[in-house]
Amino acid sequence: MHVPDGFLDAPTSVATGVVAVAGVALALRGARKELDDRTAPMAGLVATFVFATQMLNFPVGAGTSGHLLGGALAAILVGPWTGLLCVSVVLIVQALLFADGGITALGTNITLMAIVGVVLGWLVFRGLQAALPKKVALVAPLAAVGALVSVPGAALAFVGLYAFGGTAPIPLETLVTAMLGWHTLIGIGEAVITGLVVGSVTSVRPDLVYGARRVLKARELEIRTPEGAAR
Amino acid sequence: MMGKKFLIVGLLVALLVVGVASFYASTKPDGLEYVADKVGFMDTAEKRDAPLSGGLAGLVGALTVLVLASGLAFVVRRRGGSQGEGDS
Repeated sequence: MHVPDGFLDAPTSVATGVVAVAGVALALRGARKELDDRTAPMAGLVATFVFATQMLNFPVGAGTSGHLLGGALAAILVGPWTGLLCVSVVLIVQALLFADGGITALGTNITLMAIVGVVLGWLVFRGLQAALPKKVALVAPLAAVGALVSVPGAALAFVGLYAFGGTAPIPLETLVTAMLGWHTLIGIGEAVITGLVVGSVTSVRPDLVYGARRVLKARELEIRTPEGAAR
Repeated sequence: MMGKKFLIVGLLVALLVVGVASFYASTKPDGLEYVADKVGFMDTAEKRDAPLSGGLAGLVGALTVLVLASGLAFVVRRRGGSQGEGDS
């Protein structure tokens, strides 16, 4: 969903630039709570993995493709603040080295994918996790749901930005329908990939999954014989 | 560093994905480009040439991301300790 230069007018690009800077600044502070000697290397790995999987476009319909956004994935693996930073690094490298996403549109892309995508994916995940029984086995499926919501959410945010500062006069309903339709489909792909990746990591190293922390802590506090090994 | 094996495997998987993507990724336009084309604002895009392209480009990009993100994480982290404070 990389926005090129030219789609949005200058004031909107500047505004999203400000939002992006603010988001990254907050994330730099917040990530301190999430990262320590043990978990810091995961951030590098997650960012690299998001970069790699974003290269893998999968067909979504006769003439379209989608690719992983990675916001929910990053948030659940390394925490929302660190996730925001990871996705931002990916977007910056993509814009500067690969012309994937405009340079003046970098603020827009960080806002849409690193901020909206990550925050939405995380909030949905955490909300569901809080409401449901605390089980490690639920981490991956809930991550998938977070991922599913994050993509059309980011698409909707794009439409919002376009309503403000799009450079072409496009009827909003047309844009909303088209964007939401395709990005819900892409969201399904995102959900599958996210669920599989989080599931694999959780099954071998749940201690390295940020989103599993609360569940693991709750498990330690229970004084009863452990149920079978985590899947 | 705890979990070194995991991290190395993870990194290899990521690089494998880069390799696969370079060959097999769909070349169809992505969701946003497709919509822009269909709905009619695609030509407002100011396209420019990619500084890096070709097979090795993905690898270079992945390594760049690895170095930048790891570096950032290490600078930002709390020194020492293995228990995180509560999550948000």
